[in-house]
Amino acid sequence: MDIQRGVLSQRPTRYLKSLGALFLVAVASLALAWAVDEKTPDGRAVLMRMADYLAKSPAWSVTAHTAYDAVQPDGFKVEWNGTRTVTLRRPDRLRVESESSDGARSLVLFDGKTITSFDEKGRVYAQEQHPGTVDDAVMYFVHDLGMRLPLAIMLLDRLPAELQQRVRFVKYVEKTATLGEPTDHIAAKTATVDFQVWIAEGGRPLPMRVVLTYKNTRGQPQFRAEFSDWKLDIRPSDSLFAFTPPAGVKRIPFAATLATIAPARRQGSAARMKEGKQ
Amino acid sequence: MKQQFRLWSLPVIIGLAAVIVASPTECVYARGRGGGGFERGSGFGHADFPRGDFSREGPAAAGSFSSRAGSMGAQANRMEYGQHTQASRQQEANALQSNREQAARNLQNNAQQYRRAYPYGWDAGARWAAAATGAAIGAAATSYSTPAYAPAAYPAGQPCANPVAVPVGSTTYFRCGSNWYAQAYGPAGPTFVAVGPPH
Repeated sequence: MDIQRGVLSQRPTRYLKSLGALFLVAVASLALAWAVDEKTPDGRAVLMRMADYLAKSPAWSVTAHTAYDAVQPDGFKVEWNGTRTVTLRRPDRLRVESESSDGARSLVLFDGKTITSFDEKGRVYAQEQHPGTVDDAVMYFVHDLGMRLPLAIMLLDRLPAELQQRVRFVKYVEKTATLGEPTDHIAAKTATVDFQVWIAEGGRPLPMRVVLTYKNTRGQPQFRAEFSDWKLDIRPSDSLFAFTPPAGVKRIPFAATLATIAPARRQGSAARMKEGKQ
Repeated sequence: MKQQFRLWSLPVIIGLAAVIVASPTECVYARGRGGGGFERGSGFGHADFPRGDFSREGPAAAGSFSSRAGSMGAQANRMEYGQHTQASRQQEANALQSNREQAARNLQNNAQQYRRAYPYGWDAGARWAAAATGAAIGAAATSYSTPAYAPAAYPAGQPCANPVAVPVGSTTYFRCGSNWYAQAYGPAGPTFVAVGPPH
């Protein structure tokens, strides 16, 4: 009887001890999880800090080494490289010098009134009048004239708004070193493009590397850029953004404006089709 | 006897060595095939890659933060390699030309509206990529014997083998048989675009 009483009196103690151990483990786990979350930066906050910093900088220049994939008809992916030097002076000056992997050089200029594209190898240039800001010119150049200007939204002072509108998901990946600089690696998704940015830590949250993945396109090609030689304390003169046609260079229209010069031969084509002519 | 054998074997050895050194490369590789060299039917061969130049075109070339997805890219690829039927190519030519004319009218109408609102994904760009380069129009307009865009086939700066330059005002048109072209600046650089006969 005494033995039974002894056994019975030990049960509540063992039960309390087990409960206490479980409670301690749970508290420790929660504390650890909270500590880890606290140390992981907010990916969206890091991305937007970069966007704000770029958008509010009155002038900057950078060299970008770019590469993109061109998916061939048989699915083979070929990488094409290039180099771009961008000089931006807000509100209304832009200069983009490009050199592709075959050595062909081109230039895009905006002087506040006129947008110019110049192809050195072809010895031709095209111009359109479009007074306004860099934002106006860039969006007109890309959307209305159908021209290419890689990473165009990074030139805009509305870059934060553009990212807020497009980015559906963003996550902090890790801290790492990129091109010798400590960076925050961010991954984000938009409706049509997934992208990753490596953003320098510290007082100058500038992009060091960008990778765009065209996820809805066959082969999921990428565009990649590495940025170097960022300069934010520049005061470029107006002459850097002015275009003087070199001797022997011919002016041609932008292709998007060509329809106004020479209407299509659609009716003629249809007639020939009906007659079965080639 | 032994001495005769030695004297006879030396030229034979030299001759064999000469044959080995002078043998064609294929023979050397053939000897190596069983030992892990390039094997027939696998590895690299000219038939593994398409003929002609590699294309530099595609959605990734624009480096935009938005894309018109795979439909236009795939369409541009098909057009570039002429796999459409004649009827569908003509339909696409009409549609693309209609888009081009509408876009040109938009450019004129919006000439003074510098601060108009741009649509979401304004930098997708593919709408113009196929049309402006003339690739789609060229392939779509294969009702003509001469493609409207064939820079790889002819020397740089020419739309066909023997174009006839016809200046009209400030624009120079090029006549290739019954087809007309104008040089214009497209997203991939200067190009020749099929146009109607100048007025």
